[in-house]
Amino acid sequence: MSDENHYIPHVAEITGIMQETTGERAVKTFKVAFKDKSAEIKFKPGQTCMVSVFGKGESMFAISQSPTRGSLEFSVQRVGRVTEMLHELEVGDEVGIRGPYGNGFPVEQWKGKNIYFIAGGIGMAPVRAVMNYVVDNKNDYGELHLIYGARTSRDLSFKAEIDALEQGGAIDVRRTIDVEEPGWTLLDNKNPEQSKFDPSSRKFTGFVATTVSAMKCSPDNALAVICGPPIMIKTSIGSLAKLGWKDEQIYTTLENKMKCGIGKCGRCNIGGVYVCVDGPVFTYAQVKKMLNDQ
Amino acid sequence: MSKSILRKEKVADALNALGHASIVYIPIKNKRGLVEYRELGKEASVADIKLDCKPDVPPKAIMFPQTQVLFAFKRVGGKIKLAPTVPDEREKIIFGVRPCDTIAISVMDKVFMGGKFVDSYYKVRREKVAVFTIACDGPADANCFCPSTGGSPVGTEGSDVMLYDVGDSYYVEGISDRGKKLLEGMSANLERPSPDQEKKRDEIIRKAASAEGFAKRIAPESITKLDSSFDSKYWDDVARKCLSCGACTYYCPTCHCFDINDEKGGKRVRTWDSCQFSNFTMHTSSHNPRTAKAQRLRNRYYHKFKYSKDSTGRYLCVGCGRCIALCPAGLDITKVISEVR
Repeated sequence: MSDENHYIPHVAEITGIMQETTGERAVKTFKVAFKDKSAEIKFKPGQTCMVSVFGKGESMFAISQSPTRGSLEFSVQRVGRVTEMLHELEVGDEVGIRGPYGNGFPVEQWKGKNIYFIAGGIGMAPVRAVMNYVVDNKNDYGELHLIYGARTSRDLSFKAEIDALEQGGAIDVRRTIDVEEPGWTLLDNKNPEQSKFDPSSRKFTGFVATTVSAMKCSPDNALAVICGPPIMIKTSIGSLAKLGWKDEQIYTTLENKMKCGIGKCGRCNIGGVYVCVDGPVFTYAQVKKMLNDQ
Repeated sequence: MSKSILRKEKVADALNALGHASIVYIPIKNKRGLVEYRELGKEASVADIKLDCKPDVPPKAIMFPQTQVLFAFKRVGGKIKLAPTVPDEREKIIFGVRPCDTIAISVMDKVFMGGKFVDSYYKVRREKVAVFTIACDGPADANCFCPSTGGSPVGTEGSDVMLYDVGDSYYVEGISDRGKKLLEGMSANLERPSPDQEKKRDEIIRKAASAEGFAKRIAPESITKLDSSFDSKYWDDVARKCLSCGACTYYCPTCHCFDINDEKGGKRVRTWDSCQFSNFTMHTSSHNPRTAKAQRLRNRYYHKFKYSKDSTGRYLCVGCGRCIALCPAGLDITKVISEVR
């Protein structure tokens, strides 16, 4: 690699903000454009960037849009110092961007496969990037499914975009929420396999893992991409395992506190693995081999 | 002149000669009684040079400052302007470095200049540094264990110039091309070694090669045991004594974990950090992969003796023993690793 200074971000302007969800842990999607066009980056779905709010600091975020869509986007949940400040910013404000970092999803290897995108909460951000990439290259892939869960229907992000994909027939979409609402088919979280699954129903009350079990996602010529809170990842993997899925067929993204993003600061390691450079995308087979340091 | 003699009374002249073209750092005793490297002429005078002991503080900060401004930022008319830090381009010589600390610089080179990304801040400083190593005559003190980590009291790795204390003189040897060139610049202060001085130097090397006299040792087989003891309860036992103070990491010549923060006045600053601090790995969500002291302590030992070995082929410990000397709880890395179960 070159000796360029990796710590200095490029200044980018916020060119669009989409309020995805509201409330205490609201999610906004920020579209950014580099001030200096030569700073524009090439990235793969699943890669990440350090985003600076000058004066507050910088944090690592998954790029939430596919490189096929021509824009650089980050979908950010308001949780901490940097993200709270990000949420205060408006179109025309400037941030810093450095990256892209990490390995990204091996989309080339996935050609010809059926893909189940399984997302929980803000885990939809990296899934959106890779899902849109696959949808934009639909001829290269088999059947596509999205199972996307949040606490309530109001907490689901990218609503219009996902609705449009579904209506266009690009992908089979199932949404799930944790708390029952009218019009959402109730699944039995205690007995997921026994849950009656009505294929015509698009909206379920139940955990993501329950929906995976109830749908009986088939491992034949398939792979799964699971992103979300640790408990959701764990239970969804459990559901897939019961359906005969192998560890190598399951992809997930890990996250850890990061400061440098380039494998130096010593913070994001899990055993000898640095999530920032070796990840964030790992197969479940790789995750299983990692030391119990999470 | 790659092998010569520098008489001890001429060290001052030689250092002053070196000081014409470079900043020279020498070990001196500071006000707190700790021996550390200070800039000659500015913070230290030759009269204070302390070459008869292993300094308490390694020279790490010369390449990797404890606090370093990465860049400045300000808003001009609502727009962000960034001003990168001007790199310190001055040539530097660190004089009187112990072989363990010299190897530590090579180890740090792998961290910061190896792998997929090069750390430009480290590289710019590192490339300006020449190291004059002073060989040890056996263990420098009771906590030394360099032979256990692949080092030696007379190890030359990473050195530009080696010095051996042969009594009233230093036997001086150019190791790298840069070192040989630097010796040419101080040739007025150098003499040809006598057969007796050659013998004395050979004697130091012979004695050191036998690795005799080291009270501390880590057996290679106990390092291998780390492969299967990650989940051992042993780490809880070890951690009971630890205060998570981070002294071991701050004085370690190879510990390099850092933090990056924005400071008032528009500066992004990198500072040393420690994997022993409880908030080191804490996520914004408050999830923390290494909440327990035992997990953090284990991470440090594993990083030193396993992760680094697996990824770069070498230990991230050079056996200087400072963590043993300075631990307020009396934790001894050689004992911790030797007793792994």
